[in-house]
Amino acid sequence: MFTLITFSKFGNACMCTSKFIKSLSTTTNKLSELELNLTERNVSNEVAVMERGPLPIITGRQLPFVPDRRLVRQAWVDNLDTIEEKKLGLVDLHPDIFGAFPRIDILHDNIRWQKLYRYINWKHLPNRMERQGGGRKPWPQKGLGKARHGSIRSPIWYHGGKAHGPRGPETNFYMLPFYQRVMGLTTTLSMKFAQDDLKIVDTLDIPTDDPSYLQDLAAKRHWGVSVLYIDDSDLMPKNIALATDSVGHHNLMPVYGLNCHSMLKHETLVLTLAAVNKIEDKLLYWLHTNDPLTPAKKYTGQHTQGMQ
Amino acid sequence: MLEFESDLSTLVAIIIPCIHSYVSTYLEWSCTSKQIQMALRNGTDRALALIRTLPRVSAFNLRPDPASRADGKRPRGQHGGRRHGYPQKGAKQRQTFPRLGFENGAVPFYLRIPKENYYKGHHLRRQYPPLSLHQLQTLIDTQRINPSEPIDLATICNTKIFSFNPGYRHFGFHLTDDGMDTFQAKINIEVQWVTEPVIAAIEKNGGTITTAYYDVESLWAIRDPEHFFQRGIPIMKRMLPPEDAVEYYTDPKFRGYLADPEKIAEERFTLAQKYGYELPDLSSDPQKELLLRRKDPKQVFFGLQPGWILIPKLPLHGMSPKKLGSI
Amino acid sequence: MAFSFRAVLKTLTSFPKIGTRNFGSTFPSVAKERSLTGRVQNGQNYCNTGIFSRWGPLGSNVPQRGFHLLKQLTPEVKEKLFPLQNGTPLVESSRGLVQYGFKGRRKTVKAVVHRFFRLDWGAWIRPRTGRHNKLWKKGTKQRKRARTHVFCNSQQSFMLDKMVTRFWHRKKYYVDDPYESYHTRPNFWITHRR
Repeated sequence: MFTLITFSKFGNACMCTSKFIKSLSTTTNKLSELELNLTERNVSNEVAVMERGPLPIITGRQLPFVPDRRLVRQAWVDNLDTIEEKKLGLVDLHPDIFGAFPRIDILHDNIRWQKLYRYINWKHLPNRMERQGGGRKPWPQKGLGKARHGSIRSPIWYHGGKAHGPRGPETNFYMLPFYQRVMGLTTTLSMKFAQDDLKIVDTLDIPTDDPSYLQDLAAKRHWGVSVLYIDDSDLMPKNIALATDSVGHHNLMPVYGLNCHSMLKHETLVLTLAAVNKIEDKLLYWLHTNDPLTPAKKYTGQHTQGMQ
Repeated sequence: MLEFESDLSTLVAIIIPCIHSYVSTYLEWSCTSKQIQMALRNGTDRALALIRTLPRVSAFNLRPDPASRADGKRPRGQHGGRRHGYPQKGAKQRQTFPRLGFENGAVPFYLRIPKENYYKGHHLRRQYPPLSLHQLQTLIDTQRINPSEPIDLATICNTKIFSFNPGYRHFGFHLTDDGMDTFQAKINIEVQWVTEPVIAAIEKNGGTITTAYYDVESLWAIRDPEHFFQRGIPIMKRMLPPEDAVEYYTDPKFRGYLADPEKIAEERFTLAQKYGYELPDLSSDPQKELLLRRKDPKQVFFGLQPGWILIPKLPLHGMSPKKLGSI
Repeated sequence: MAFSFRAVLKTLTSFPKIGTRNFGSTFPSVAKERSLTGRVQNGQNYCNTGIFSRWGPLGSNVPQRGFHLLKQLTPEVKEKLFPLQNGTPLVESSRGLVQYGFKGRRKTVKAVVHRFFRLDWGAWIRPRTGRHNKLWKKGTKQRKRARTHVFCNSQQSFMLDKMVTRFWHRKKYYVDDPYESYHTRPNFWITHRR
């Protein structure tokens, strides 16, 4: 029933359990509900109707760390189960994450880093030692009226070695400072939201696994050509996994794979409510902690003990 | 960042005269109306409103901060090449300068001056980084320290705002008198060095203060208790102070942890008389238990005895479960 | 540099031609030399004179009188033994800055630390030269001035900063520090505490 989708980590998100997740059911919970309903119905050619909780979904969330001068952002909660758009509710978004100052220069640094840290320059030009031949003095030093030379492979000769050329595989690996990467994420999310490219849905459950369903939906709603769907876990519902599998410009991603490049590459960003919660928790932790960052804490989640 | 904001706001003012309307539509669309007026003055919101009007941000219309990139001037070509800015031959081009301080054979300045024992014994002296009463009060006011629990080195270090390094011969904190006039908290605090007026400031508010010595190993442990427990080694016994520190830590005037409690009580009274405040009665205090809570001289952590090991849930550094089982 | 008789002996044995010159005024007989062992009048210990008997017969240009050499050690003798001028040591000391020591790190010039004191705001102080010298001819005022400690100028301070490692730049938090009040500079508008 479930399809596991694995993603490589881009080094942006961190493992952090949520203190502030309210009673919003995640996709997996929704799926188990759906299973119970589907067994009772004939699923063959019919679009399955989703069973939902009471509407509208207005999440009156208690957003932490919001100073009085900062405005809380609000966004519609849309649905994915019909091609026509239905507003399911309204959700509060944290201003430090979805209303952060758009630092284009830091975003540039993030994109550059993502591109460059794994780039290896394989160019290798042989030097005069590595070129074949050139061990012997081609002609005597004096008497011939020719220019004096010691080797036929010196840099000034045709087919000679390159003196200061690229030397072998060269790595461009570097790590962008952690807090610049955090800021890159907040900047991108804020800019997506400001440019109407951020959509929030309740779950990623869709009625069919037909690829054209999502494309029709995106076209109808005037979403961009490319859409990135983000859920809180990497276990995605079957239908959407199959639908997006064959389509290159509709992609699924868990929260831990969130990165600036992917967000900019896809025109529209679709977040589930659970994903919004998780992203906010993680980013707010790193924006407000005074515990110095150590590699152990970043990757093993040891800091979570303090949060609980 | 402020510079960026102001640049953007000037840009906004020049290019789009009706930014007000754009901002208000953005904000009306995204926020509650009551706070819109406040937001209109905010640089961030104006910047986001501007972005809203511009083409979609993508990897193709990003640019780095111009000031962050140096001009890439390579030493090549007619002007950058040849001698590369250096004069012909000589020490400047060949970089064969004499050693620092050399004065062409004359006795150099740094050898001409007579010797003086400024730094005599510096490697043996202990250091106590300062923590002012004002800072302590701020920590309590911002709820980074809980005054209903005893405050010791671990508490202060756990705020992650103040720290000390035993590697630099720091032996704990020195509670300074900066802010003693406005100090109001009632606390049980244990520091490593303190002067008379600070003791008065704390006791005046009904609190208690103790000075205690921690040896180097204990300092490393108490400085980062979480890390220490991760190491999985038994809690050590706190060693007694060295000879030159014994006098201080046995002195009731400085509320030493090795001093006679009766004499400390006398000194409390004397100090109150000296500084002219009425000494609060500890015996009838509702927080008596908190204020009189003290560590044993050999104890490092509150509530934990030497010899104990705390086994955390997460894997220990360098310790396999088998190894742990054998202990 | 401490004078080592063993070192002297070594030089003597390694330079057999040293005896081409006249070393001393009086020369006792070889027999006497041979018999003499151990201590002499002035209490200095010498090695077994058996060594000197190897140096050759009487009358030759060999230092048979090595024993006497040691015993007397006149200034002329010293000059011959130590061919360099004015009693300068055989090895010149180098007290300059080491940028890459054995461990690849910079080293502090100890000469600086023994003479100067760094204040936290970047200034260095030093004693005055000649404060212990010729005091008999200095008046009270001059002696007082000589006992003062003075600042180094900015050029000197920058140079001294480069000659010491980060450890010496680090702020020290001594509790009974006599220099405590000098580590801050409240009178200067840039550095005064708000």
